[in-house]
Amino acid sequence: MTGVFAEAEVLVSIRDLTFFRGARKIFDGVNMDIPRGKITAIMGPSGTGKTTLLKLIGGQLRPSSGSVSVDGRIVHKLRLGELYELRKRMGMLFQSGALLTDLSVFENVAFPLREHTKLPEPIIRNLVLMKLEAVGLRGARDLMPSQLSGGMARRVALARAIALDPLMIMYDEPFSGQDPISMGVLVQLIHDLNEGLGLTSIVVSHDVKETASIADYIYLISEGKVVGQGTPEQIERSDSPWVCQFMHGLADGPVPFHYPAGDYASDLLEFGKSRGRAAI
Amino acid sequence: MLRQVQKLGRTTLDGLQKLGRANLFLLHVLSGLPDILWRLWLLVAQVYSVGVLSILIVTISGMFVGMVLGLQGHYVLSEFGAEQSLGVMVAASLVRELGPVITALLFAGRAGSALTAEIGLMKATEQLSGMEMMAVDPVKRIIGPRFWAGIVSMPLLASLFSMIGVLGGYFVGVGLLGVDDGAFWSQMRAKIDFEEDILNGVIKSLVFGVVVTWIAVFEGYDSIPTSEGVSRATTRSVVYSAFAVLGWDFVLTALMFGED
Amino acid sequence: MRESRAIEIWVGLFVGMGIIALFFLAMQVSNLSDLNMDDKSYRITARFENAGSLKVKSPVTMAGVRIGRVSAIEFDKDTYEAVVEMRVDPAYDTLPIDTTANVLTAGLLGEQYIGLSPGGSEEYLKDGDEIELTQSAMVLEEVISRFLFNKAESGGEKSQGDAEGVDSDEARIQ
Repeated sequence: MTGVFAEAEVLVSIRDLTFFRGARKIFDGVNMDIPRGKITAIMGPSGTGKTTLLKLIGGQLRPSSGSVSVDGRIVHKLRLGELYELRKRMGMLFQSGALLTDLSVFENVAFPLREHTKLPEPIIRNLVLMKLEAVGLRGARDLMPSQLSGGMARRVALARAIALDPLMIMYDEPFSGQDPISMGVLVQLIHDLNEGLGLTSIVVSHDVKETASIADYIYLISEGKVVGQGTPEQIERSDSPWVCQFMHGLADGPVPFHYPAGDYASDLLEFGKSRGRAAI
Repeated sequence: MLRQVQKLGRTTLDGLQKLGRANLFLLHVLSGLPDILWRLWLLVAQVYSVGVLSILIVTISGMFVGMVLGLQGHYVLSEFGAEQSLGVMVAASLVRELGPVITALLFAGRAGSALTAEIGLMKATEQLSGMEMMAVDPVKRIIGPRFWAGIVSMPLLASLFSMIGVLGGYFVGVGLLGVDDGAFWSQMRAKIDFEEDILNGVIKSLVFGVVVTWIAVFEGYDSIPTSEGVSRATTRSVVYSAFAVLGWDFVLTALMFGED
Repeated sequence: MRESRAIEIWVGLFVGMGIIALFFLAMQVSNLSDLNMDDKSYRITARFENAGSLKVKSPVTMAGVRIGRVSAIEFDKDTYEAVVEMRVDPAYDTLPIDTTANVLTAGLLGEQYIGLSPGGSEEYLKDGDEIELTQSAMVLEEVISRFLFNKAESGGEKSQGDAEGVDSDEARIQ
């Protein structure tokens, strides 16, 4: 369903996206619009290829057919130099943080600045400290990644992602495996950064409660298709049984509890018959 | 039976594909040379990690190999009454063959495996991917310096090995077994030719450096990003390096020391 | 960045050690120091019937002291001789023009070299001159047959009446 947002409002536009990994069809004719300046959540069960979607937006993968465009430019048609330019304006937060393990926290955040700008050291230092302050880790600047907890590593990665003041940030499962406090911190950060820096945020997650609390718009993906979209209120009120099961975490529904199997009773009896002799 | 043939075909095709990837990868790495030249610090840091940290194993091995050559050489040569030629024997063996080859094998085991593991681990923890998303080419930024560091370090290490080996042979031959000091060095000087022996040895070690480092770095980059995948890649890199070094040694020796 | 200075020092040391090792090998182990006479050395040639197993870079000696090296060996297709070109260290410029050049063997079965024996002339060899008097390489088979022939001859002179012995000796030689 396109056309929900006006064209000028849209930063990332995905049209008829089809993507195969080997023989498996990961995406089947997906259409999505990511509006500027808002937090858009992409949710769905594990393994639906949400990370793959982020990679497609970032140009690390090419669609089998269809298009992904960012700020009006089709990503997979860009030349390598242009793609790199585009990526400088995108920030990405990986699930594991993906900090460079041989560099300190400070060096990690300084990395994009050192690589892509010719700013003098004092300015870089101040920029790094400002970014670290924004995520609350200015005091941890000399620690090594191995000394950080998972939540702290993600915050450092976030500071690094905003180092070049990008247009948009993509968050890959930012809340997974976090304790309630770190989760709260991250939720707060994502929201504040988006407001404060005027970013566009794409959050890929399956943590319903946290994501829904900050998202301005939600897309639900399952089995390679968009099965629901709307503002959190619209999704809440949705009468689709699948959406209902997912959003409320129900054990059984359109996604069945039981993995496909034969008849229960005959399975038990079979078991008894064949083993009876062997046991002797 | 048919399935075996099929499997063979598939393995061959996979192997060819891998070879192709490895070559494209090499071209990609080579294209990053200008970036290295104006960021020499990266290269220096890697030469430390790959070269300096290999000094210990290379010098100790060199010393022992030289000493054994002294012992064995003396034993064999005394049968012909030619002990005074011990210097030539030790020096020729080291400079032409043992220096480059053994250093290359030690290098593959110590530095090569470390490189593979490091890069494989970076791949598994998404650091390489993260770098790509930050618009930094990981092949030029991470792999490049390591590759050139290996090439620079190998001849230096091989020369060290040969030098320590000759001194080790001297210690055993002249010091312990009574070979004449003057004869040891003068015979050596007379028979070992700079261009033919020393330079060829350096050329060999350069070739080995390229081969071992390329294999180590590529196996890491191409590894399956799980702990098992990385460990298998590390093993493969050492084994393939050994094959490659010995194979190239044969080819180079035939070319360099063949009949005029 | 604090560690960077230490790292740089170590790498510098490493490269330094490597270069020293290479230098050591070049100077102490190989013949590099001896090769540097090419530019100032002077050329002399000599013709031999048989150059034996002389090679380029084989030593040229006088009184057992190495004064030069063989720089080229060619075959003259008109006179069927071996033309050997040598380079002599410029410090040794008092070689008389009637010097003899002999192809000698080091040890019994060793490598061959050129040994120069001085003549008595007051004029000295200059760059481009040729040595007139030469002694070709010794071919083992010829020496042995000559030896046996001489033995046979002296045996024949002593016992004149022993014609059979001479005949049979000669027959054996053929």
